[in-house]
Amino acid sequence: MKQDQVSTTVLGLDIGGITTRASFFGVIDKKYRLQNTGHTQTALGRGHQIGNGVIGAIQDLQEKAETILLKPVKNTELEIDKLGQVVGQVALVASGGPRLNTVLMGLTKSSSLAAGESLVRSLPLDLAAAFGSKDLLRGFDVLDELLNLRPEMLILTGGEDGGDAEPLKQWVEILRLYCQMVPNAFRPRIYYAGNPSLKETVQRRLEAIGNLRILANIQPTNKMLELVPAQVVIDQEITQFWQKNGQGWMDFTQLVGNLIHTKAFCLDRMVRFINRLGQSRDESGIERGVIALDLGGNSTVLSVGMDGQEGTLEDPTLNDVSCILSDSFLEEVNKWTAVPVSSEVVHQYLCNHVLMPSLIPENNEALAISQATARVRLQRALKLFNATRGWFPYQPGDGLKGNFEPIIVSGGVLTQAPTLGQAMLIVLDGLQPRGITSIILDRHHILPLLGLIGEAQPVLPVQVLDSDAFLNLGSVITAVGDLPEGETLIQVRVKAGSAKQYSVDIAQGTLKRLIVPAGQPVELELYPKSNVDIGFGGQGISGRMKVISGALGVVIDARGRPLRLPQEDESRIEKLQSWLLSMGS
Amino acid sequence: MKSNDLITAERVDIKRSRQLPFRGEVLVKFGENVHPEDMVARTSLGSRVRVLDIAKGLGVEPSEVESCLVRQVGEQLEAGDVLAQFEGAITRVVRMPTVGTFIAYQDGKAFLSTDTISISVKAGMIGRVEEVTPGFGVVISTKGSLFQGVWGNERVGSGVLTVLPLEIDQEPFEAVENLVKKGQVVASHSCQSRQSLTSFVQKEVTGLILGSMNPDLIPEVMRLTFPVILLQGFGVVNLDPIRLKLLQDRDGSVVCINASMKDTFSETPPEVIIPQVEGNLEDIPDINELAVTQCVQINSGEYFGKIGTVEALPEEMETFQSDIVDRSAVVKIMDTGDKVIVPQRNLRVINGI
Repeated sequence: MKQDQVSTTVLGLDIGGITTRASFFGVIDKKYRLQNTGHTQTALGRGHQIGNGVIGAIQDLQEKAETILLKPVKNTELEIDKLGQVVGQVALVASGGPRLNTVLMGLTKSSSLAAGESLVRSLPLDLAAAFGSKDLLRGFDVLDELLNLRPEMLILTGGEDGGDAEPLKQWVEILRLYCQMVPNAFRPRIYYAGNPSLKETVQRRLEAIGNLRILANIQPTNKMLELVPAQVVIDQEITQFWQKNGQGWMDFTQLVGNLIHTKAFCLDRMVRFINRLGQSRDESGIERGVIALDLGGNSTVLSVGMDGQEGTLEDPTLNDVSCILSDSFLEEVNKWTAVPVSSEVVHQYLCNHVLMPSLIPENNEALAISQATARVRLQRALKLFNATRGWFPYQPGDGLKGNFEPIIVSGGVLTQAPTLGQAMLIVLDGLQPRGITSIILDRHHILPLLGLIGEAQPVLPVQVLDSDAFLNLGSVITAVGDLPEGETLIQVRVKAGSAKQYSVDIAQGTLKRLIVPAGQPVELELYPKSNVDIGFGGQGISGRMKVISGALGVVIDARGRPLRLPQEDESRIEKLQSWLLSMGS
Repeated sequence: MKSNDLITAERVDIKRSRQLPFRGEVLVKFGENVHPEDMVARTSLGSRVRVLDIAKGLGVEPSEVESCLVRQVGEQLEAGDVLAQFEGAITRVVRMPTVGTFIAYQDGKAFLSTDTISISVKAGMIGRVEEVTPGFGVVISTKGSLFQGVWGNERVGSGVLTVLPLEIDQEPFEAVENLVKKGQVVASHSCQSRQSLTSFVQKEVTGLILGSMNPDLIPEVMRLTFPVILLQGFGVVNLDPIRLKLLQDRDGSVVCINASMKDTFSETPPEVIIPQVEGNLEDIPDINELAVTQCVQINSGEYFGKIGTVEALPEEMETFQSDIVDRSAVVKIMDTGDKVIVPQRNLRVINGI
């Protein structure tokens, strides 16, 4: 089917590192809705065909739906081919492929290299090295480093439009030499995304000997980052590489046509869409950003939109047991584990999880470690994102500073959490948001798919976003003050539906759930102490707001920022357990 | 449901391809016997680039240099070879200052690579060269026992196998002191202490096959020069009875370990090969799905590391102790006969048993 035709049914496929999902969208009462989903384990590795996982997910979907999508024939290729006859459109997001070894070349660390790094880290690529103009002083030593790294992808960026081109010319010559020194099959894909005045020189020097693509400058001015055109091209190259090199991809990629992108790319697109859709200031004049994050099996993907700025980070999960001992990862996981367990056991669990990422936590100990790991992954993603996006209001250890609403979350550790309270607490502890927000659980893992399908069916994402496919976990109000533990820092008057208004005092250090049936409108009047900020624009500012109660009602987080855990194990675990209890877990 | 599988087999046909990423030289011949550390193919890339200002050397304009070049780009040259020559009243020449390759020429300057980066492929196993792809590599084959593991320290090696007669949970250092000889490959239940690891190093073993290991030892193990392979995982897990028996049966045989860790997309996990010419060959079934009667290793919970047989794959979802709901398998534990319910996703099929 051509993409300009309107399909009434769309099958979305999501091939992740661990799980392959199939989501079936159809029209009900003139609106697109998610009708059914299915999933199975991704078929990767020796002797496996990606298509087997896809068929398994569709079979699971068929069992739940009445629609038959696959014809019962033995040959798997034919089975997938038949899909096209019963489904209007098929779209595919993927994150389960190998990451291309990438080298970045640019000018200054704080400018063009940061821009390039933002580009590389927004996609499933491995950044092997980044060279700046200072490295040019090392002469041909850089060449030797390149020869040892042998990158599959090379991104050359730098120079504002019309800016100094001299250092870039030197990089071009080094790249030319590099291409002359390696065999044809080892010549990397080269992307030039810098000063456009150098375009002809780059073409003249590199086109004949390298696999060159000229992209738009990703940093046309010092303050402007324009990544999307480059992302589109590179993302396409990544998925083409996966199709060429993964067993069984070609079986069904013909069926999806151009509707194939990586998960990170699609999530980025969806956040841009939501950010622009809801770009408005609230009654208090506060601008709110949007966050979407996915705690996937292969990586953590964080997409942020605020103040006209947008960006995405894909942080690969630990893929090597040696990494567990780096960057205090083990200590941090240990700190957030809410059961008495030794550091050795945590280390063993993490190592075995790296060897077998599909493991699910079977007992309480494993669950606590797994959920602690999720918190640390979130904190790590925020920190990495902040490192290349100066505008992102985050300080390691201190949590988010800006106002974000909604925060849309997904990933097996959240959607498979035994209670919604546990999922909520993972997000609150990991992100430590401030002000007023709502946490939305993408329980069917469809947000990236919507970003992709919107390309062909623009109305589908809008209508599905409004549906119950997404679960509102609850509105969260964070009160930040510096009062002694136990002292009241905010008074809340609550009026839910036709019930009588009541008042609650919230004490410093507590986490409180206001239990209101899901979906019910709630009117809140919030009266903070003079030195307490609740997100209405400053300390002591009170306000009134209406929210729709989520599955967990309304949550008031008065634990303080940053969250502080006692040093002593027993008290630390007691504190973590008390927070879980507050969330009904 | 897709299975995670590892092969354990007493005697199978084993073929492994060892190829260079780009053209080079194959160092072994068809039919030749190879050992794990033998280099089977090699290639190189030029490195250490130097620039030679030919225009300056000849005393001419850069634009005139091209006509003075007497060598072509790509040529390998010896120290003293003439690179460019200007015929005038007095003939002037520019010579190669060192051995190298003339890789490029631009604006009166020659770019030379004066060293090489070597890229090689090792055999990684004992076997016979069965196929040669000229310029790229070989296929090596053998018949024998095959044990695939879950982790390795990226080394290859071989030696005579000795299986330590340890009780369950017993640290190996004392047995190493008394029983192990230099050059042996040692199989043991587990290695939990630095003392044990040091004892292996001091005895100059050439390989370690372990059921499990303390993950705190990873940095040290990565620095070892001999291969270490884990068959079951990290933690305190004893070698399961099947693999222990198979290893004991081959005590005294020459064994090779390829402890190279590859990612999810690779063909083979780290593995132990014990060549054995005589005996009946087994077929390794190509298992894609978890199924009843398969032999599996449990990778979580109370029974972590145990092996057993899948007795049932219930249709209905199971709520586990963590309250997580997922698909389950009923597994009969081999050494105790206990029947346990475990998540399907936490099982590894021990293929071939």
